[in-house]
Amino acid sequence: MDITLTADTFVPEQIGRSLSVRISGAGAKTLNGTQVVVPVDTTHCYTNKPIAVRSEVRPGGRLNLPREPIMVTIEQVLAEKLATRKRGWGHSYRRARRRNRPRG
Amino acid sequence: MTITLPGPPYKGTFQIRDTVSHAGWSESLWLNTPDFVVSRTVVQELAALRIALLPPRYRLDRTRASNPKLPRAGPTDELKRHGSYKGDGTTHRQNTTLRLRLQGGGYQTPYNLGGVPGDVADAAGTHPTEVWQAAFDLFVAALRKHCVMVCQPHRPREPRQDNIAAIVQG
Repeated sequence: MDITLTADTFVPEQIGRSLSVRISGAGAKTLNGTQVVVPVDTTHCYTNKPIAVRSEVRPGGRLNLPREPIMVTIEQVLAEKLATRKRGWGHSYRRARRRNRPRG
Repeated sequence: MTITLPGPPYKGTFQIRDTVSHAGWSESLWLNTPDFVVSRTVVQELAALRIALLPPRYRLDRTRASNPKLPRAGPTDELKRHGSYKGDGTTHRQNTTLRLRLQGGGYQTPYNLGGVPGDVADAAGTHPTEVWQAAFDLFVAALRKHCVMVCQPHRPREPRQDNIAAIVQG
């Protein structure tokens, strides 16, 4: 993606090299922030990072909207296997000797 | 002040206790019922079928119908009824459950059926007796009639993108 700056910013030593710059005041908000760019001349540079430039797109993490749970009809009930399940006695299993002690 | 009753699903809960070790646990099911009154009736119907699966060592202490949208509300019934399945008299421990899998419409959810009689299942697999199997079939029929699974809807699967045109091994 090509970026054009409003003023001469880059010096000749920086041209063709990868730079980390902080962009602010851009119309597309997703362009603002720290970007790694490669200057082409004093006012132009490009970045390989894909950036959405639509003005209505806001930067930030992925938003997961809560989904309303749905009710699903039970069609089939399968008996799978015997399993053990933690019950009582706090948040951890008791030691093996106590766990295997016959009770009742 | 008027309270608007929430709609389905309601939740039916069984509280079961081991009369030997006095340890207890609860099992709950989602009910497709319109209000607390119907939910209470359905829970009691399911409880009667659940008791038939329990050995006498285990006791169904109470049932409850509730709705998560109206916390702390809902009728509780003290039953204190011992299991009615005699079998060979052996039982698994109260932390051993028979894992059931409820399925439907591409969704599934587990249900841990506690208080398993010793002659119904062991490490080799399930081998229910005729009496227990008949009671289990009735319980399953009631589950299918009254209960639902409450699931997060699946996200639509995005089409897969293959950017690699070809891989050549030299």
